[in-house]
Amino acid sequence: MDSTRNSPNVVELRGSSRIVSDFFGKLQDPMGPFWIQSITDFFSEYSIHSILYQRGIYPAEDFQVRKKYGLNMMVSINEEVNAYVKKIMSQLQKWIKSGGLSKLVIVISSKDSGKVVERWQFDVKIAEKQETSHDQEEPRPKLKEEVQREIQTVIRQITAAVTFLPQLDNGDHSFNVLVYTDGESVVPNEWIDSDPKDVEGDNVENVNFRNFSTDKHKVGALVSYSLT
Amino acid sequence: MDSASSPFIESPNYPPDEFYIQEPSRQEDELNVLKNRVEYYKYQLSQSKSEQSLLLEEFELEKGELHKKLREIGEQNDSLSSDQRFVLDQKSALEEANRILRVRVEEVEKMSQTKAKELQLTIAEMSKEVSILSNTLDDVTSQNQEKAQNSNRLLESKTAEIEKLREELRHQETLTQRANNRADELNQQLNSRVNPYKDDSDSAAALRLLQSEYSIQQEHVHYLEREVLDNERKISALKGKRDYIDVLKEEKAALQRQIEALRTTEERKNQVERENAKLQSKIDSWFGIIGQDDPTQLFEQLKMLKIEKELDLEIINRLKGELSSAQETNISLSGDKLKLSQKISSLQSSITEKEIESTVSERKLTLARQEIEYLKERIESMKSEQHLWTKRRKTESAPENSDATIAELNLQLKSRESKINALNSFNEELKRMLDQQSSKVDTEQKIPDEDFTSKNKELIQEVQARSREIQRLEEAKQKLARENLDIRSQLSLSAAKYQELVEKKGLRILQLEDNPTSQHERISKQMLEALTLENNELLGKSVTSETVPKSVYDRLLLEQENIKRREFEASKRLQRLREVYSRKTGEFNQIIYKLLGYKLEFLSDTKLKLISKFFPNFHQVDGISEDDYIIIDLANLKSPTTSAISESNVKVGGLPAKVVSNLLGFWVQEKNDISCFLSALNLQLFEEQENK
Repeated sequence: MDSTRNSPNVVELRGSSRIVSDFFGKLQDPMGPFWIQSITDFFSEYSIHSILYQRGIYPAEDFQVRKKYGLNMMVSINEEVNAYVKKIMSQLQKWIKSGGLSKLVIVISSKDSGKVVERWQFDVKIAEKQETSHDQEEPRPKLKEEVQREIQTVIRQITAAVTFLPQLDNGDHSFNVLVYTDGESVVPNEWIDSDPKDVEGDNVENVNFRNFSTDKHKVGALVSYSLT
Repeated sequence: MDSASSPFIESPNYPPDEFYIQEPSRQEDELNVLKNRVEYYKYQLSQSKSEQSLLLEEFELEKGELHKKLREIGEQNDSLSSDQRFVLDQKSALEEANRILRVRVEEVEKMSQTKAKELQLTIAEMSKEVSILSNTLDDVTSQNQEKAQNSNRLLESKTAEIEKLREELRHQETLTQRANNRADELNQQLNSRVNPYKDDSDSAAALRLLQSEYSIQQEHVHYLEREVLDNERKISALKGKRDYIDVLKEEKAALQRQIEALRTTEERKNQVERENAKLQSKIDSWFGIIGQDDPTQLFEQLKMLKIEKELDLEIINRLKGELSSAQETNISLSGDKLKLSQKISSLQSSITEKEIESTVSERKLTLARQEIEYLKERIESMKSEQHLWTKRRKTESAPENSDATIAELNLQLKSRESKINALNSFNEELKRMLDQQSSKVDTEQKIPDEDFTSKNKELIQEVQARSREIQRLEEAKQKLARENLDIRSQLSLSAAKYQELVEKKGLRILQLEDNPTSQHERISKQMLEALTLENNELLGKSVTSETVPKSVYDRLLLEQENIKRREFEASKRLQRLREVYSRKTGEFNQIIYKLLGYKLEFLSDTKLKLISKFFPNFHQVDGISEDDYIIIDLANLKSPTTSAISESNVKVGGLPAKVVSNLLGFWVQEKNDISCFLSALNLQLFEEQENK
């Protein structure tokens, strides 16, 4: 990825305050460029916390409303969960930066039987660079607001998915986060290999959600669940 | 018969050798004697037959009784087996009940632990609240004292001022009186002076002088009257302030009530603390006795040990009960055995009697046989004699009659022999039957012993069956373990294959080693292992052993840890719920303020203070003026609305009292609607503000 460090790509954010940030120049920023931040925000504050809240993995009082990017998000205040998510996200940012991340999966399993009951899969694909001729203009970089609007759409779909997903009893399930990386990615010691933890059974349903994309990545969502 | 020669006669007289060469008449006599003897033997045979038939009847009776007894014994056996079944059923039911009781005890233990924790939490919270309340109480008390002192000082100063003003008024009145008196005097002097000088011109000037003096005095009187009026106004204002003091007094009373409530709370706290101290002293005493580091842990361990002791005592009591019931059964069985042995002995004695009788009859039979043999010999001898006689008679005369008699005798003899043979066979049969009977009696004698030990045997069999079952289960478990191993190996193989595939594709699936699912799995695995170990040790433990396996304590410690974790989570959840509640109530108050324009403050449980945002001093830094609020008596809110809010409850400094009283009169007293009054008041205040 060092070759991309001097890329001329520029994100132009139009609005009352004009923000221009270099994709890769901003990599030195601890927060990272906005697209990395958007994806990690999506995974942490939008998807993981929302799923944990919507699916009743933790009690409702463990969550607080936080308004972010025009949405009222339920964010956990459970220290253990937050520490776990934070640990994942800090590593995830590195893998997103290095382009090693291909999937993030939230697995919900029964505490009693250990059976996987739901599997929320988020595919992260690196957007293919469009070939442009000399006379053509460079495609306009995506605005932050556009990305956020797309994220809002996906998150609304995730929230609405509660209506058709099977009822999960409160407190009887736990969750785990799986990350698909390429073989060349650097893996810290605290990360171990895992099986894919698929939902098993005859009546497994898969529901696809809408995608959202940044200039660099395209993120799709899919939920698998068993109709028992 | 006495003269008859017989081996059964003490001294038989055998006939002399000359007998066979005696006279035929004598021989006839001899034959008659022999016939008589045959008759006698016939009689004896019939007697023995009748005796045998009697014996047979007795035997039949005995046989019937024995059958009856056998039936009774069979019934007793059946009843015993049914009792045993019943006991076994009861035992299983008791085991089930014991299991349920254990489960209940565990539940109760859990509940008591949770309750204890809740109580501890409640005590801690109460102590916190009490400390907060005591601080608040101190603050409120000091504030009240300050307020009371201030109000007292104010009251005293105002009273002194009033007194001063009254004195001044009195002084002014006396001055006025004096001035009036002086005016009267001056009038009188003037009249007295004017009368002599009425017509005098100088007197006119004096009159003018006096008139001017009089006017001056009158002005002074008017000035004094104005002062009196001012003082009266001041007094009325002070009266108004006195009303305010009354409100303050009411507030003070409400605060005093709060203080009382706080005192009761403090007393309750003290009581709880005393109880806590008692418990602590108890714990300390235990701590002193046992010398453990952690008294709570020790207390919990003691509690668990107590529960276990109770459970063990229950088991012991149950076993004692079973033992006593078994002993009772044993006693009843031994009684039965005694009865049966008595019966057997009586039967044996009867059998021996019968045997004796049979031996006697056998002897008689042998004697009869011997006699028959003897008679045969005699008959042979008689035959030979007869042969000799025939030889003789051949020579002398033909003896047809005697041959016929002999033939008849032969026939009789044969029939007798056949009867004797039949009797012999019957005797053999009798013997056989007796043997069978004795063997039966022997078997019957053996039955009670077997019956007595049958329960133990059954129990042993049950134990053996159980052990076989355990063995079978163990085998099944081993088989399952083998299958599990196979599956694991297959799983590991498939995981390895999958890994290979993933590596080929260049993909890796990763998870954090410490994740919520693995945490839960780890806890479950630990508990499962502890339970398995406990189960194995309990299965291996002998019934008589009094020691509790260490694995039980290990398992209990794990459970305790789990309970502590759950308790911590529950307390955290409670804390969060409290935070949410306080946040939401704050938000609610804020919304009420924004929508309705009134800030709510609860003075007490029944009194609510409303402060409008349009009160003139609302935005001041010092806070709301003492006059700017509305007090609503919530206790009277359901009853007629007028008693809930009255003019004395409304202190609005910015508005004229008349306006407030008008609004109150119309909305509260006439229309009975407080909300409209509040809205109207806000509108009035808003207009007032706009006008300013």
